[in-house]
Amino acid sequence: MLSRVADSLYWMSRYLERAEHLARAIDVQLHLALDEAPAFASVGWICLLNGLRADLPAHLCADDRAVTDALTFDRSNPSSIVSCIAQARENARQVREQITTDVWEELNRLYLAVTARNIDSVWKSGPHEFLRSVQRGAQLLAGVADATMDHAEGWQYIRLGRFVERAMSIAWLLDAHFGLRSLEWEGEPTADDFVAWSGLLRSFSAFEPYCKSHTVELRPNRILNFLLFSAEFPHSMRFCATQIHSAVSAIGEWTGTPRGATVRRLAGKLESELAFGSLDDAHAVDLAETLRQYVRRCLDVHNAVYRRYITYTVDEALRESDLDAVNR
Amino acid sequence: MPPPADTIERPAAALAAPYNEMFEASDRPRPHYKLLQERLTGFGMEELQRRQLAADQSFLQQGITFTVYGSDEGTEKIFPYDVLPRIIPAREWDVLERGMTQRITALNLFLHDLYHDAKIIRDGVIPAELIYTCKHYRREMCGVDPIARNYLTVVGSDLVRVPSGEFAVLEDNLRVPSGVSYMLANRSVMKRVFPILFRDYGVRSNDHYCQELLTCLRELSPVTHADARIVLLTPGVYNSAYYEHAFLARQMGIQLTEGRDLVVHDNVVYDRTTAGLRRVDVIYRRIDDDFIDPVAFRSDSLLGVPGIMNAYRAGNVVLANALGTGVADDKAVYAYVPQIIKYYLGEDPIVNNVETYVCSRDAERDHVLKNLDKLVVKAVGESGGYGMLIGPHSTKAQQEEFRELILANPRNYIAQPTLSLSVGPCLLGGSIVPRHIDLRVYVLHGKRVRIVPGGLTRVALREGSLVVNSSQGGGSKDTWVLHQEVAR
Repeated sequence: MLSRVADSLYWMSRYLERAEHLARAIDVQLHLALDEAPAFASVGWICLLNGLRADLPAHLCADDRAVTDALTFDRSNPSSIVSCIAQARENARQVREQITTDVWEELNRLYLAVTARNIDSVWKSGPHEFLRSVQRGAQLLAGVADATMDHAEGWQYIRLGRFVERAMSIAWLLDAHFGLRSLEWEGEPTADDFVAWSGLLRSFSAFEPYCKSHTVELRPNRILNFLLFSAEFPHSMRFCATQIHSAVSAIGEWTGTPRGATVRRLAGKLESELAFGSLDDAHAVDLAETLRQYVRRCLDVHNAVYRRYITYTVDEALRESDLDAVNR
Repeated sequence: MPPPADTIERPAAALAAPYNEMFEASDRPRPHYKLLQERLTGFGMEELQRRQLAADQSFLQQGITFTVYGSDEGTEKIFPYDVLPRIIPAREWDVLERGMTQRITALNLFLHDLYHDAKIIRDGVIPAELIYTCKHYRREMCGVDPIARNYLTVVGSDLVRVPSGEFAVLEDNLRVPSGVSYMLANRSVMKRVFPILFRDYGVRSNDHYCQELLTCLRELSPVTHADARIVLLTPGVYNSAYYEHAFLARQMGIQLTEGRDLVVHDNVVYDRTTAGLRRVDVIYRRIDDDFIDPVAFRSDSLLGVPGIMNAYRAGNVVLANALGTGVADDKAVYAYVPQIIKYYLGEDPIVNNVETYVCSRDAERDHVLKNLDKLVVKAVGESGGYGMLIGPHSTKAQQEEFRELILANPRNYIAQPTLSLSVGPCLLGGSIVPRHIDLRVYVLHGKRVRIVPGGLTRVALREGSLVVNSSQGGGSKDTWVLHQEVAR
């Protein structure tokens, strides 16, 4: 597969994952705002914006509509939903012969649906329907890609992009959330606590799966444990790390060379830290530091993939292989 | 440059009555259009418009678009599509097929001759000056021997129907002709929108175009083993035909490649893959000669691949179409095609040229200058409807401008009678109206010539307009070639 193609597929997938995460997080926050005490109202947005690493003016947080517009329809914000979907589509357009028609058409449909709307039309009818449709569109795309594409190298880059993006957004949002709220509380949790913690879970579609494992007793430590270390839940750090490791291993096999050794080692390291890690370890170091460490590990994998497969120089490639032997 | 011809006001009744594709007399459809007329009447206008809407929706959702250069309102546009088919009876298609096969065979021999012994020039059939002043003539190709002596692998020739009802070639596109993806897309939408009508008509399939194209490319491979690596080279996502490049690559199952994906090392072309560098054998290039190799041609371009010309000359990679083919679609050289066919094949042309005056010939130039108000004048190197004067639609000032242009550089101009292209029925604004159409036929040529039945029928959507180019407001419709003759 062309290096350029791998690059585009990877980013197409990351942008879609980002759009989906954004849509869900905004939807949750708008919903929470209905239940939150007025004093808390902008705390939720601040937390969300920190978790998105979004660089938006603080005053927006006082205005639900303005912040929703900035995160959803503002083309000048490169990480708004519409910008993410436009960039996903642009990446897909560059590699259109590598994805199936079904994938392309779903993505094109999502793009047309999002660009046809604006904050006025969405706000009037209540933004929930719209934000749900973005999530559904992104999920549908992931499903269509899984169902219609060869699970070969290109698909592995799509998987890699999805889970690298997801892992980093989990780490960032947890970091933002626990930076503002204590892990322990004294006495009974209040209604506001419930709103905040269930909001965190819902931001990762985790509320129902959490309840199934731990009942509706929301306890910060259990929540953290679930979102970091669950082996089965698709929005946990550990699950993402396993997928990342599996994707880069498959890519290593597809490319048929020992070139992927470093990449696999780094992905394996990330996975084993989560597979064999525990909350106690995390607290022993300091939670925030542990979360940042996971983000660094994801970036290490990302950079290694780029160095080995995508941005290598021609000189390196010539040095590594005897071209005549490889090609003929 | 004069404004595009379409912006000029239409004079009343300047043109001869055009050939009507559908009707032979005001109320009597031609036999092969009878069934269409019956069905259209049966559908009723509301139903037809519903189907047109469904077709438009389908194009939008599939993202079947072309890019307009210098347009403010977003760069991607949908190519307007008309749901009513253009129908060509089997007998007429047979003539076209033979005529185009003959033409491409002769032009290919002509190119080989030009870049080797140039016998046709020495025998005085075509003036040396005409060839060696052509801006698409490539000295770099002299003495190069392409595999199977194949210069023209993909050709798109534009045909018009003259008032007598015969087809004539208006021009050949021998460099990187485009539009075939719209031919295929039009068909797939047509089958969805009018499935029963389509089935009842007995239309010859064009589904296998991409397979035929790949076969031709494979026949040119320098390596004999079946897994020769064939790629399509595109200038990239900003090119107006990018949709088509991606479409063809996907349909053929070959890799879509940009210049930056390729490197040349020791005169061998490789692509940069995630597994390292891999050798490339055949390149279906959709980049113009000028941009393909910044070392050999334009050094200011980043679209191409440095050193690819040397790899090509060394016989390590095949480029289709070959470089330097543009010399044979120069509009002045076009005037000589009948002589070219006669010279190489000893045959008369089966499909004629449109009558053409070459301004570098004194008598013809005088005739052109005297009749600027009646003729269409074209710059030889331009395409896409630019650099044209449509005499009957022009003002005195525009005619004067062209008089000066012609006198300053006669080699650069030809003129043709103002053709009244035939008209076919189109569904526009809630009624069925006649619009001028032409036909681009795609000819594939590997070790032999292959022509997929049909082509791209382009439509001048504005009333009275003769300009069918997509860059100037044209649209297209599906082209049906019938299996059998229709009884009268």
